[in-house]
Amino acid sequence: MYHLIKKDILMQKRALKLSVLLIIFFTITLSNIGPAGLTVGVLAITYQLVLGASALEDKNNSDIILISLPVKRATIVLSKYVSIYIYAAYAAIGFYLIYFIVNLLNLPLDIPF
Amino acid sequence: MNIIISNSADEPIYLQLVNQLKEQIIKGELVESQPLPSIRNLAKGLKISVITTKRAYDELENEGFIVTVAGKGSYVAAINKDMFRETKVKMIEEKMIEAIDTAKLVGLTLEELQDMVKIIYEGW
Amino acid sequence: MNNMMEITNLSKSFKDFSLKGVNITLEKGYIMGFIGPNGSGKSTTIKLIMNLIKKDSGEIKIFGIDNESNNISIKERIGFVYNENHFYEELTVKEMKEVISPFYCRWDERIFNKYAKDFELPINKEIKHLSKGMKMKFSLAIALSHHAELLIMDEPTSGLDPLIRSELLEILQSLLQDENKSIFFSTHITSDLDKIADFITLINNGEIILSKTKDELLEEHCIVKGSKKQLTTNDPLNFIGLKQNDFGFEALCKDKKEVIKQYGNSVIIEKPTLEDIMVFYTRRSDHHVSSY
Repeated sequence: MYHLIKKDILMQKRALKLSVLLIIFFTITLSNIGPAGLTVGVLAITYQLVLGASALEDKNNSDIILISLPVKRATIVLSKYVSIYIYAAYAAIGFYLIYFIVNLLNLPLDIPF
Repeated sequence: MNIIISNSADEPIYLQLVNQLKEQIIKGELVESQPLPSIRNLAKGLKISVITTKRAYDELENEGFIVTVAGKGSYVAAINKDMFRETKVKMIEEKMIEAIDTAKLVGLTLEELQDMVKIIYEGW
Repeated sequence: MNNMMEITNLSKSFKDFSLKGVNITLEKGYIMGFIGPNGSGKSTTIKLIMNLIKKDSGEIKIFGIDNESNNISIKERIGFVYNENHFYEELTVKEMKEVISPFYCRWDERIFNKYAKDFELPINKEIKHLSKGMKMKFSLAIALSHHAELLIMDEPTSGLDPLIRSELLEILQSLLQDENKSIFFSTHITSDLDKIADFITLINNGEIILSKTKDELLEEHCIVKGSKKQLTTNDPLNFIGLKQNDFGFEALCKDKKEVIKQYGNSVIIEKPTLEDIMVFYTRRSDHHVSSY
């Protein structure tokens, strides 16, 4: 399972770079709707990554490779669900990191969370 | 040992292999108790299927040209010249039956056939 | 246990196609060619063997055990190569290998590196930038690096140049030096199999037409060509894929000896290739393709 999740992350090298930009973008745009902004931001990033992983899987028809390997189908499906939490954790940490940096540099940005 | 296989020849591949090995054994190019390449190795070298090679070895073993020791491989057997002559004569007989059958089919008489054999035998 | 794979009465129905009572037996140490025209059921059969889709009925035993209830342990011992690239194109060769290798208990990095070197795989290149031949070689390297006993290949040679095809055949033959390994190889390019295959299984319209050693197949079959007049006097039922036109007829016959006995020298008897056998068995005699 660990390897399946690792594979999903490895595959999304480009999407992850994009997500950093998105986190910065959301920090700025969503900061004025209050704490709800964090929730929306985390949700959006998670959604982007989950969808991205599934789209790549779909594009290459790689499910055929996965189910040909000695792994249980249930494990493959479960790993997709678990990966959602990992993306969410990543997004949350990302937002807090930006918040931390903004505070540290005393940028004139009002972040409520 | 030299073996040349033709994929386009009419003769089945296993037979080509059998005949060429036999020839070399009879001529003494392959000597008694000399080890032969393994079936799989030979198949790979000649780019033919394993089963074809196996069939050739089986045939050679049945005719007493080689012996196979399980787990060790195949070796050239001690060939008995008389036995060999006998098998050859039998082979000639078979071919003659075939020739005669064909001759009868087109209505060749015994005399005509005998003449033919004579000409070919002496001419070559 | 001498049978590597044993398929009995395997059936699977789709809306517009069905596999009907397929029986295939593959012995240990041999290579079986699985031939048939496009859409005849080759890929479906392979998907069923690999347990990618569920069968309707029948039994598939691999290494002597059922392939559904022992899914994982069987797949540990199978190497597979598919006709299209199903790898993640975004990853490099090395990354892809690292994704796959942990799934196999018996993965052998040494073997993989050896093949990577032999095949000159560009280890740090993204898979999408590899040529078709390279992708196949990569697939093969992956399939061979975990001590698989059964290699299953679904049209690995389609779209490849003759050079790479002959290289592949050489690799397969060296693999068979180990008499405990078997290869199941589906293709519609029968010339690949003319040389090295031990067994041939022909499938058409979801039914197995024949399955026997290649030598038997090529020795008992013959192509008969003659004039139309000869056809009317003899029983044409023996003929397979009979085709006639104004100039004569040609057909494949299952029993070479019988043909020689019946016709003697009055017809031309030719040695068939696997391609001939496939074409004659699968074509419809009443079917003519014409251009407009």
